[in-house]
Amino acid sequence: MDIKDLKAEWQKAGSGSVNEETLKLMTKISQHPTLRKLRIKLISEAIFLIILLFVYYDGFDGDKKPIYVNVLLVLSILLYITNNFLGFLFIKNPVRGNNIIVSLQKLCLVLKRMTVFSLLSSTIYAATLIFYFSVSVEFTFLKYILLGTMMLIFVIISFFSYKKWKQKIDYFSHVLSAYIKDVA
Amino acid sequence: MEEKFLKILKENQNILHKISRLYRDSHDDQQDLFQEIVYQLWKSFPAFRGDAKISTWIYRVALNTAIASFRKAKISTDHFDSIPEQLQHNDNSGISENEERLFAALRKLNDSEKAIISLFLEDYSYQEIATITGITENYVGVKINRIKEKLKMIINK
Repeated sequence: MDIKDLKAEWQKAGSGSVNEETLKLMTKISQHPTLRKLRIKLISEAIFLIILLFVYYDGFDGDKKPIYVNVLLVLSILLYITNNFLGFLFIKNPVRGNNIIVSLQKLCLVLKRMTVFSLLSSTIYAATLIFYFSVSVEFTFLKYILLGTMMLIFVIISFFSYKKWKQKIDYFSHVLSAYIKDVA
Repeated sequence: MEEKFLKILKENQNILHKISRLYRDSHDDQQDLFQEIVYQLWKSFPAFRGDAKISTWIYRVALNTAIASFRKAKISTDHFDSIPEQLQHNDNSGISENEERLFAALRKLNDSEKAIISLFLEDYSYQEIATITGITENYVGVKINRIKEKLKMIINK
């Protein structure tokens, strides 16, 4: 089969008729295969965290903790919500340039920034939570073990989160380099 | 505007079908990508001023989306060591079977090669391919020759 046959085969391929009504539905975020689920997750998490912000003061002895610890907790929760929201926006907009190379370059740059911001906000969030529940607590050996375990779990989660981000960056950098090496 | 968009999309949806089949293996993933491309096209439609052909704009957004959008499970799409049957034997095969083999061969290429060869097979000029991909016009030719060789090897394997 020569290139003419391949062209002919390609040009007649792609049959399949999706009607206008279905196409119209596809333009809605509520019908999007990934974004719909992500939006539900984002909203549920945000509602849960906002409720937590309203009840923690009475529920978790906020009045017995120093003011700065309360402020830190509120800020870290808001930072975490912001991070989730930015992540959603990032996934919602994969096309970032007028051509594939520019788009991939911007994508890699945003991914790197997102990695730093995501890991940073998660670290601040987890550290503040641990700090909040540790302040004004008299530590026993068992409580130290508990604290150590929580920190260890957080480090492991962060490590896998970093690995996941790095995998995405490596993948897009690899695709980009396949174009760039031909331009150079 | 929505009506105009839907009309354009309906007339050019074969591009979306081809790109979805080229960049995703399973039927479910192809459907998801098709939907993702429709969504991205709708979002960027207000910015389309008609400077380029409508099909060129669709290809640009579709390829960008296929490459840049996140995939569910794995990244690599390499499934086969060789194509199930030789592509050149089209005497007894039906069109869809041949088409399936063509896509199986094309899916063996990497993401950047897929974008370039799809535009080439669609009969786009080197200049148009350069505009959509971002590589220089000179290298489009070099790249296409390399991909053709690779494709020949895949098909004849």
